[in-house]
Amino acid sequence: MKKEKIFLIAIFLVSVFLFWNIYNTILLTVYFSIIFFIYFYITKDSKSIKYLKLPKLKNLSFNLLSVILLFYLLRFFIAIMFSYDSVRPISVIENNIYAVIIAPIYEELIMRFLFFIILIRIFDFVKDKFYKEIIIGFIISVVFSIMHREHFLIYFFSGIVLYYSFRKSKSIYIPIFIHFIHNYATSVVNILNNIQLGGGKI
Amino acid sequence: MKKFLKVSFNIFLVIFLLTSLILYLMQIVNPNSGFIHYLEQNNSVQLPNKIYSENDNLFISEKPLIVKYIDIKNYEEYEIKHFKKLKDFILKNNLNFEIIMATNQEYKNDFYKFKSENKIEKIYYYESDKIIRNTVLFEENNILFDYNDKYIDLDKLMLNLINYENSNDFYFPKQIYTNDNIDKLNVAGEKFYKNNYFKAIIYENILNESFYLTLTTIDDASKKLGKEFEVQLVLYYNERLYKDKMFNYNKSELTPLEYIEELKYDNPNIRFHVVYDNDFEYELNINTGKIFLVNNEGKIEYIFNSKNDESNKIFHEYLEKIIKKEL
Repeated sequence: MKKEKIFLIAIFLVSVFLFWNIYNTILLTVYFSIIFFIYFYITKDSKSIKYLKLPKLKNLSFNLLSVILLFYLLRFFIAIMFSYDSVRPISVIENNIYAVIIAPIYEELIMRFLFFIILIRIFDFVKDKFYKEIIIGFIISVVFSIMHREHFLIYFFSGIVLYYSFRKSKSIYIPIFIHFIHNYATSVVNILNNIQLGGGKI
Repeated sequence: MKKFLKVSFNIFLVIFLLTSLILYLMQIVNPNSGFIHYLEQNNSVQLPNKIYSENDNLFISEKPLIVKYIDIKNYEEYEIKHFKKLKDFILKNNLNFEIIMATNQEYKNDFYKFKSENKIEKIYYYESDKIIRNTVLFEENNILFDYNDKYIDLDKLMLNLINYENSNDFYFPKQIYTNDNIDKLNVAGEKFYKNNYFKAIIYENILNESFYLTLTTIDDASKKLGKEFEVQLVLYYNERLYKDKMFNYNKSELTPLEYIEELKYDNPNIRFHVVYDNDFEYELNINTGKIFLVNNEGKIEYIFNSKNDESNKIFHEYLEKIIKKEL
């Protein structure tokens, strides 16, 4: 096995370990900044930067991805509609700034972007692109669901949808956007439920 | 194979999105439906069953449960100490328990840290915007432990319990414990006034001038009424704060516990149930000196304030009537 591959596996395992054990967002940001730096320094990977660019409109023509986006946009508008009288959108974000703003950016950058670019190099021995996608998508979704520590299946399926949207759009902004809408809509439900149930879950 | 996987993925995607949308709609229209509710019903997600919450501090669960609401943001050394004590007790006695911690989304990670540090699997995260710092421990409908931080409102707590009993035809075993006497939890469970006619729940500043008189009157009443009258006495005091006063009051060097033992000896017909809390430093702010007289149907007959002379007088007259069986 190449030295680089061993190094990548180590980076992946360390990242999972950090994500599992460190609870301080600032510390995690520092750690992952170092990991990003080390990764790009060692691998000299310049191709992956393309995923950080804005999505091209031609990739958003009618396909499954646009269906996904449509569904989540619908959810967003439903949330706005139902909370129109009682909850101001800005207060939803203010009260759940971590869940609605920080977590989508943070989780997508690490789970989808970093893990993907690491795993695609680790699994370069899999010749068939299709199966490679399935393997990587599966691993990332499992890690994603385990990181949330609850409702394994729900997060696993959500992870698959987010991974699919990332791969299909070839841009990290689409899963961030979907993640944002999902968390925003869930926050609205929680706020509305709070009135009646006294609490909820994200 | 590839084609099969692609088609099945498309089907999965459509089903997943449609169900998620429908469930979302169900949740938003009616929070008591939808997937979360389904999970709750099947015990996959445990949210507290909020049966009674007049003051939003007391949650009573139908299931054997410890409800521990902690605002992690303000999680202090004091509470950690208390929690460790509770945890040790739970593990030692192999109690059926669950812990629900309330905190804000922002501190969710702190919760996971707390969970892993304490190695208790049955802790559930519960998100709340409210700052609730209250622990109520139930085991098969028995209150074993209640701890409401430093700011316990005994008035409301007692009223809640009595109202709960009243509306549910249900009797708690009748002792409220705090962190000091947690070691004595094993005596909880004695249903001491279930079949008796009256119960008086008193929580008193034991140095209250009218306290002794009240106690004597209740003792008289209980002597004459026998088992028809029982008293639950809830004394709240702080050992450190009261120590000097206690010496002066009794003109002896009795410790609070010895003093209570003496009270028990002097009033053999009264069953004492004592709550004491060394950490309770705000006792001057709570309304001590309340007496609830509750009949065997759980209905509150009278609430007296023994600090208030007029109220105290009425109470004594009332007790006299009980003794004469006029009521």
